[in-house]
Amino acid sequence: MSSIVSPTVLGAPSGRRERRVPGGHELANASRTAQRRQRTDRLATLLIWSGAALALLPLALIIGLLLVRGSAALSVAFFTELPDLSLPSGGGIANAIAGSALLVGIASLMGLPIGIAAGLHLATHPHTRLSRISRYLSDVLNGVPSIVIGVFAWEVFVRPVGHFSAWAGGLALAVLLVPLVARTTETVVSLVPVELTEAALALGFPRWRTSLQVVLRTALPGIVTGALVAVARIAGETAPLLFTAFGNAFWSMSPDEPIAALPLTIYAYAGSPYEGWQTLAWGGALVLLLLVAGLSVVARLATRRQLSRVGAGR
Amino acid sequence: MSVLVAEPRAPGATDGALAPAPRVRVEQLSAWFGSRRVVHDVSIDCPSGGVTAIIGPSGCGKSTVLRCVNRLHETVPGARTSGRILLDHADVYDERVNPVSIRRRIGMVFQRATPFPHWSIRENVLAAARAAGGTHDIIVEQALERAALWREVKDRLHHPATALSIGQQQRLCVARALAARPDVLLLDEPTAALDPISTQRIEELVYELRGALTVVIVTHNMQQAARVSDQTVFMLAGDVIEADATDTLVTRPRDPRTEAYITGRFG
Repeated sequence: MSSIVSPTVLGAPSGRRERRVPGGHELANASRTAQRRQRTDRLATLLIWSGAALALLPLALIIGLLLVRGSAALSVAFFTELPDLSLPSGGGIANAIAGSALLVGIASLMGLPIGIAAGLHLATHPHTRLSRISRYLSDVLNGVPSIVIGVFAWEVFVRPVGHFSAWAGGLALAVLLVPLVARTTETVVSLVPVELTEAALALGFPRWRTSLQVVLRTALPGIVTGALVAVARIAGETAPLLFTAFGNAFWSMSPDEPIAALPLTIYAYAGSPYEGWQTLAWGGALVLLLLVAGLSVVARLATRRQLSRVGAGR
Repeated sequence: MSVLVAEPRAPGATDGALAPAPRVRVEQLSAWFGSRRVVHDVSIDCPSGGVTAIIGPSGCGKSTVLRCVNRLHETVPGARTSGRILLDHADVYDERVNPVSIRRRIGMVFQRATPFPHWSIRENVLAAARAAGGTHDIIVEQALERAALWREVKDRLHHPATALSIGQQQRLCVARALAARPDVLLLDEPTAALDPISTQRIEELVYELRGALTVVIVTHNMQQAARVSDQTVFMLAGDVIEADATDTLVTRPRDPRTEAYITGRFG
């Protein structure tokens, strides 16, 4: 009933409103505006896409080239044998793969605990003088060219001993690792809500228990991710190893002797005149890339699990 | 509801002979953040086994007073206090007192639910649990029962605590605090982030705890103070304006500012 009546009732006062209803040409204008906006939108989208594609192009080329040239070198012998000039294939780089593992292992054992402890301190005592100084020094150290770290490591770890060694190489990498891990640890630990710390303290947890069981445990996936990314980063470093680990054409697992490493092998063999060794360098580069990418993927998976867990709580 | 000291009740009496809950006396308490003084010479007397509500607008210092009782205030960089807080006759701020041992006697529940995220429900309850002749299983069940959460979680005690709803998480925090067998329970706007049903559960719990524990609850919500507390303290800008039995303060406030607040003219 009211729906029938209302048009007549509202008829007179709604005259003003009717004038606002768009006429034919106004509708055409509106659709022209819409068309213009659509065109702009498509153009902008295209620009953004091509920008992203351009940025990814070098990466795709590098990976593609490495896959093509490197996979030719991959064989069982590549992973199990030593370099051998007498073979047309050049042999394998088992010593470099094992050496890299040992060097990264030494660096991780020494660098990760120090870096994580430092990061935990930075996050839990952000404003002390010690924290301010070490945060600044970490940033400086993160910016120092790695060749400088190599020279430093030579002066401190090699010269007093009198010879190159895996110890020295691992230590040089650890020096790179500490500030990287300290800063990422600080970031993820300071993301732990202060309410959690207070809840633990209010329950009568001592400070150390609060830090270890609540703060560190909550931030652990992030710390692991940061550590993996940092380890991946130092695994590819060449310069700090040049005058420390030095390289070794033979098999060695003794930390007290010069040792081969993937980046060093790539560096040495890529510039060699022998085609077999150049192929080995390509293969080594591919292996290195796969190792680093593998670590990153593991790190990403760890982070994703953490995010979904936190997300479930909110 | 006008009695200040209620009779002891069953829920706290799970460990047999129970020492009466301590009387909490705040004497001439001042608190600072850096050079900013946020609490001015506040004195509050919380009777043994009673429920004391502290009300007042945001920023009036009511949470800070609460956080001074278990010495949590001093964990904030630059924060300090003066004055005394007595649990019966022992000064919480005595030099010889370790804040950790004070916090074991005083439970606290915060505005935001704070279960430890990578711990299971069971681990959360047991975080600070003190055994009183029972096994862990019994402690977990009793604490969750008292927090009215047992029935909802008994089949998934090993699930992560963060899988619970916010209201359940808050009740888990209550259970975690109760499992530590505190003498005093501090509640800092415990229902501010909760839905009405979870709020009701927490309020019922506070009501049940009277007699067994000395409870201090900070709240924005005048009605909540009226529902759960024996006495109410009204604070404004770091001062106590008025403290009285809740009935009296709600129905016949002496100070015009109290009246303005409880009738909703500001705050």
